[in-house]
Amino acid sequence: MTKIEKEAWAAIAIIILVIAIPIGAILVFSTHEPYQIITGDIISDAAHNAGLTVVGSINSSLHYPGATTGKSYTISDMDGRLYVIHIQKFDSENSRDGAVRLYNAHSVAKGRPPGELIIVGDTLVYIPAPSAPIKQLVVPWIKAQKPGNI
Amino acid sequence: MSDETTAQKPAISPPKVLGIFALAMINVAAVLSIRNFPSMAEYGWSCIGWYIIGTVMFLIPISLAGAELATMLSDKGGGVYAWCKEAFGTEGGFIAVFCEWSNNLVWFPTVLSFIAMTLAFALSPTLTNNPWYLFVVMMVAFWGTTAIAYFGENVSTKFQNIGVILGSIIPSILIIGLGIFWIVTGAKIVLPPFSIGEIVPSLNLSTFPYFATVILLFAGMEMAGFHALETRNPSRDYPRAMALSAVLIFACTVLATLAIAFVIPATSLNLAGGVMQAIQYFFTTLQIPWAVAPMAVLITIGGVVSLTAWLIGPAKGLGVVAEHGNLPPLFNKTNKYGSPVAVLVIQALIGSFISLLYVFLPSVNQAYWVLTAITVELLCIVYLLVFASLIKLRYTRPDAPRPFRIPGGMPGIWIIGGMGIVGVILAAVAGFMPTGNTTPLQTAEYVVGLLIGTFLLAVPPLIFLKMKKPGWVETTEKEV
Repeated sequence: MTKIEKEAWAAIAIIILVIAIPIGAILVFSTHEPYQIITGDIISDAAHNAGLTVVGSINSSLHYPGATTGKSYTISDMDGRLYVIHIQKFDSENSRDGAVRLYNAHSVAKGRPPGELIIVGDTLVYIPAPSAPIKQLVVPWIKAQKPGNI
Repeated sequence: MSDETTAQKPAISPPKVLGIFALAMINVAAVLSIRNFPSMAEYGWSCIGWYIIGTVMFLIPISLAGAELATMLSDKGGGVYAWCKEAFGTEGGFIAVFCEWSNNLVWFPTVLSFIAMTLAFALSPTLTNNPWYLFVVMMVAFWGTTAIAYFGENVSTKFQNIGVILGSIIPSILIIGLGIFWIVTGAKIVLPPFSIGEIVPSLNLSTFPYFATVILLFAGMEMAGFHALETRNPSRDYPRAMALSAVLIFACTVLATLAIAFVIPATSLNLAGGVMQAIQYFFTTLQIPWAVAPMAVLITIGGVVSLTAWLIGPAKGLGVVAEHGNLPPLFNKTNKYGSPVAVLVIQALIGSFISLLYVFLPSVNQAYWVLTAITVELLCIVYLLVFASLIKLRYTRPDAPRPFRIPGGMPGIWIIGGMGIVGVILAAVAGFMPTGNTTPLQTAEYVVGLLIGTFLLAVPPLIFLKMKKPGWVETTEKEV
């Protein structure tokens, strides 16, 4: 291998390394959320716990393979402002993870995907960006329902 | 490869094939995306306010800055590399183009999976859960667009011109037309009655992270700048192309978003299901469910042309960096069509590897948003350097010919450049704010993690310039 070739490979190695380090960090520090059936009404309980009111809910199952029960909740804060939170249950880990990939694929332009997706066992909880003002109130309770936290 | 030429051979003068329309379509391909519409429609009337913020603080400044810099430096290839190099030297230019290129490497798996999942909607939705289907389609799209880039500007321009009309403009016009039809037929509009107060977005700490999204919604308006050397008459064509693309992108984005917001209630815009869920609801409500599959095909084409625009532009910029002797000669391989083959192949190999991890490792998939947050910061570095270059060059090269000059003299340049800088800094700060509910310690960990990730992906140019050998420059000098 000539000196020029060694330099070229060194440059490629640097590029691979700077990409591999953040991905490696994710592999080391992030955990795969276990699939587990979650019973009860997470959102109603979270809203009640936060002093918010669920003013309505409609069935809104995704047309997605493996998606089972889905609901959209309209929640009111103390000032009467309305917010929406969606949940969707899945019949398998594979279909739930597929839906997570679908969510990741919907980053707005080159930014992050909108809103926040929380994985709780067999359920995906989606809090749209316009519902951000109630996020601080409901998210801690929702995250506490994750199988690993119970 | 027989048709490859290294730096030792005389440089090939690229063919001048791009006019106003082709340049404008490069920007439209990079920026206009149907997948943004439903997420913005969630905001109802206030999406207009968010779009105005994005337009005033980014779309207008970057369009004007791009027009002035591209026409001033129309004899230099490399887009943002040439612009920032002129103002801040090789380091500045190299960092700008490398940040744009490295953020692509992280972005590729998300856009590729979007393409595969949208296509599955047209074929069989059950395929979306099949990792092998996803990976195969992602690789076909990735290496296919790389092959298109391989055949040079002439082929990629034709592909983009047709693709952007089919995949971005026609679907947008279709959605707008159906929205108008909805209103004309007297169907119920799900938004509350219009008032000026309704369009004012709610700006507070909880909505601030969304600011980065809105600003970067129009990222990519500089993409045509990478094609300066292939433009027939840059002084005349570039500003007109910028104006045409900015108007098209703004009109399609705002009107199509409103059309969706008119028809679909916020409670039904469950974006965890993606754009095709929204389109399905939209078309079913309009009683044309048969149109979902053809629309999925069109949106897939839109995803592919967006990928093509981002795949080619920064790679061309990095190719120019290599031509200037700032990367080992291996990176400076171009083929007979003038395409930077080495950069394209390296990019495709790294992108394929990340896609493999993304599809097959659920833990990478579930935490991938952290990496997309890093791409926000990388883009902010690029645009900060571009706006700073715009202002600095007015001081360091005041008399350089500028076929397009931002009006208003120095106050004008400070207003436009300053507005862009403020917008980008706010977007960068917003990008550092975690979206979830986190403790101070978790927030600190998140910020430090993002800073390290951004640093890692932005720093290689400084390492390469340290490694730089006279031999790299000599080969380049022979070429010039």
